[in-house]
Amino acid sequence: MKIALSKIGKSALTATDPNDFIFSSDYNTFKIIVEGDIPDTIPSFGGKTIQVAHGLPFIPLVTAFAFEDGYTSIFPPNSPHVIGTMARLGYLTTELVFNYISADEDYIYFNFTNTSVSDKDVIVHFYCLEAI
Amino acid sequence: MKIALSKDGYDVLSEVNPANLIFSSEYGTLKYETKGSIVLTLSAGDFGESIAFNHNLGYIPFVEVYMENPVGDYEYCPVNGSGAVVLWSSTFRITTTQVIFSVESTGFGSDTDFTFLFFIFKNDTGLI
Repeated sequence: MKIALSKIGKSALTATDPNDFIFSSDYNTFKIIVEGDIPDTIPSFGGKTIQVAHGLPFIPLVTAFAFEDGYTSIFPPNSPHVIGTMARLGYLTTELVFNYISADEDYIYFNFTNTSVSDKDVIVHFYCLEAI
Repeated sequence: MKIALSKDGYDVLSEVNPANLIFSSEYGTLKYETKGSIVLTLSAGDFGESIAFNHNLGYIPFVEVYMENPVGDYEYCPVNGSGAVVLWSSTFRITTTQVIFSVESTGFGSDTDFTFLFFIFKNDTGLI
């Protein structure tokens, strides 16, 4: 048996393009299996790998965003915290870098470096979406 | 009531591993609000530029971004790339009203367009 919901203007009975469906049981979906916030502090002139147990029976596909205390935006992994740009200088950053996410059978790891003179409080909001 | 659909070969009534389910009402999903693109032009000789898209959701949403690099390929953003004589990187940040896309490079000799393709989801990250 198949269950499908098409987009408005498309027929769930005849559509074949997966982009014409809101949902189709022919295709797997990213399920938000685990979602959470991890607060921590990244030390000045240093780095830290934040470790959290995921509790899942598989290695999860993980994505996340980081919030740095004192700012009004969040930023993705594999990026410095850019808060602006200048034409002749490039990025303006807070000197905090969210370097990477990794995962294994038991834990998720979020790696940061902080090259500023102050410790930085962060919150990582993460999503486990699927088995790798 | 629970609604679930299992993958082929698994019993939907007894399966407890979410990786073996196509859908389950026990788990949320990403629901997308907007798909769009925006072009950032980096002026010749400049090293950095930003451009914003207004989502006006009033909270910080989950966002996925791809960037079309100078050779025409879409890469998952943040991006770090290079050519024979130039380097470039791109990233983004999200506020309660905007997604702000930024590019940094070593400076192209002519005006260069960077196209960002973005998916803004309804899902609230709950941050801020």
